[in-house]
Amino acid sequence: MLQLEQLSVRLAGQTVLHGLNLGSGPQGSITCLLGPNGCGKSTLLRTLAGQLAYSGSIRHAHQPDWQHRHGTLPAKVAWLPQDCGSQSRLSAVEVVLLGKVQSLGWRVPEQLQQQARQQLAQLGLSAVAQQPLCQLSGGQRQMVFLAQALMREPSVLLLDEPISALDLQHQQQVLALIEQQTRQRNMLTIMVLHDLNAALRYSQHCWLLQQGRVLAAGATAEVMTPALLSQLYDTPLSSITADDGFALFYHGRQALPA
Amino acid sequence: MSTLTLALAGRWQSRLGRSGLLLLAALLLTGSLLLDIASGPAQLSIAQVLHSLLQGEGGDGVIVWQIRLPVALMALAVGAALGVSGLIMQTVLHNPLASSYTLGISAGAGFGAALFIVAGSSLGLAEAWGLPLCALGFAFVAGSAVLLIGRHRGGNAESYVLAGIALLFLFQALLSLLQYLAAPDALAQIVFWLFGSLYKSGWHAVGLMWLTLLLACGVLARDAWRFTALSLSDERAASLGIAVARLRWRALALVSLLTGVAVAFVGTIGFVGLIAPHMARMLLGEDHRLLIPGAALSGALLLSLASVLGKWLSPGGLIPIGIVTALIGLPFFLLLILRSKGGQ
Repeated sequence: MLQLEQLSVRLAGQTVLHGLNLGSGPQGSITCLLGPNGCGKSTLLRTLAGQLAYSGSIRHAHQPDWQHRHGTLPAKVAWLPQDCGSQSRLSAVEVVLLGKVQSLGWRVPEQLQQQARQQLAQLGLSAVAQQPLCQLSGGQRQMVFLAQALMREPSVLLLDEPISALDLQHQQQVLALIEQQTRQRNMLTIMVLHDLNAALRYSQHCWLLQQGRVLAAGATAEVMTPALLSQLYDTPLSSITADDGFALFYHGRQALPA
Repeated sequence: MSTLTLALAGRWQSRLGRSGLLLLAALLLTGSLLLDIASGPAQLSIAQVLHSLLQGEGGDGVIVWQIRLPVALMALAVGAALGVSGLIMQTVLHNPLASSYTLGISAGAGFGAALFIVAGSSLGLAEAWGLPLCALGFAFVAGSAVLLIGRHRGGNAESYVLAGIALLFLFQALLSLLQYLAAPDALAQIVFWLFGSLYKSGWHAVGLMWLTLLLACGVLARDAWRFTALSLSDERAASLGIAVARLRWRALALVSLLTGVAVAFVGTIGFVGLIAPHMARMLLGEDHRLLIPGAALSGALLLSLASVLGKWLSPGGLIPIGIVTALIGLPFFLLLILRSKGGQ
């Protein structure tokens, strides 16, 4: 479990995160980070990834030295930034191997190559292992980077909008894989999402962030209510119960003010 | 990257293997080296060259050992240094048009050297180490300025290149000012030296250049995997636990070292540093364990061939090599610009 106390971040002279007090779900669960554009979601994720200076404290049982490692990613943490770097001619398996970049020497031990291939196989990507990244589809690329992140054998996995560039089928596939790996590896996954219905279905814990402050946090089923979400996005939202038993959020047509 | 390039690279790789390609380059390089030693006002045959190399300094041996060999070895080392610095700059600044020549580091070193030619003697410094030191110092100034200005402007691929171009103009302007102010003999020295010429190379300089090259490449090679990771993007590299800003500083410091020393000994030589990395990338892919030696080999090969070509074009006149590389390199540079607009 990840515990944030009085976490504040200033960027270019402006306070972006204001004294956040947040607790995540336990290991093996997914915590979802929701909020409108510019509310500080990515900033929070980058802070957790050790990229930004902060005040306050971040605590995690598996990563006691979180606070002493400004500027680099903590050892037991994997972070998947939004998709970029897709023009590379590196093969999928080379990209996955880079997950271990800090311990790669001139010669790559057979055991590490094996591990990279297995990682790809686990995500059903064996067929494209030797293909260059630039020739893969968006969904395949995202899963290759997921495999790369898993090479770090993290206990905390940070994902920044992992499905935002994907079509429906690949969204479901990537989310299902994230859920499966989170359970199997007993990781704590923290994920920024824009899709409310996906967040409701795949996360156990939820943080709602508004203008750098916590609007609400807690178990997903309790926090993700039409009332709170309407307030969060400043737009009226309704919900009905869908076939799968979960709520389905929607907002109807809206006229612009005259 | 265009499909054609991919297909081409793929075919070459599968036929020879990547290490086979490196070996082939090394063979070509040996050939070019022998050709370079053989060419000149007194044309020698390859057999004569081999004979002299094995027999020592009798007969043709004086020409080979005293004049041709140091120049030919200097061409290899400087070409390799420029090739590697171009590769590293293109990787860490994420721009295919980056090189120490296009982004003002060569110009900075050139200004430093010219400053020494004009003002060094009045300071009572010896040229043997004063000039290289001055060139090196200004190469570092230019390298740091590219990073500082580029980062201030947002740290993306474009901002570093704009910073580099601004520096290029600045140092060229300062250089013009120096030339305007310089006494006639100092002016002639600056101009000749700015064209880039391998003929100032004694064994002492050759040794220093090779030492710098091997040292810098050794240090760069330790970061080979990190450079490969950085070729994805800054954020991806950071997401793999790499301290990107620190890696970039380390890389630019070594690039400045390589460029500064090369400029100090042979003057400014353009386009090799731009083209060699692209040749290596096309054939070898993105793995920097192969790319670093690959860029070094192609840079060395390019400059060595340019040296041969210069001698063939004007057997007695010895056209400055900087002019040869610029004439060959410019069309390639244009091709790169045209392709990067349409191809990506």
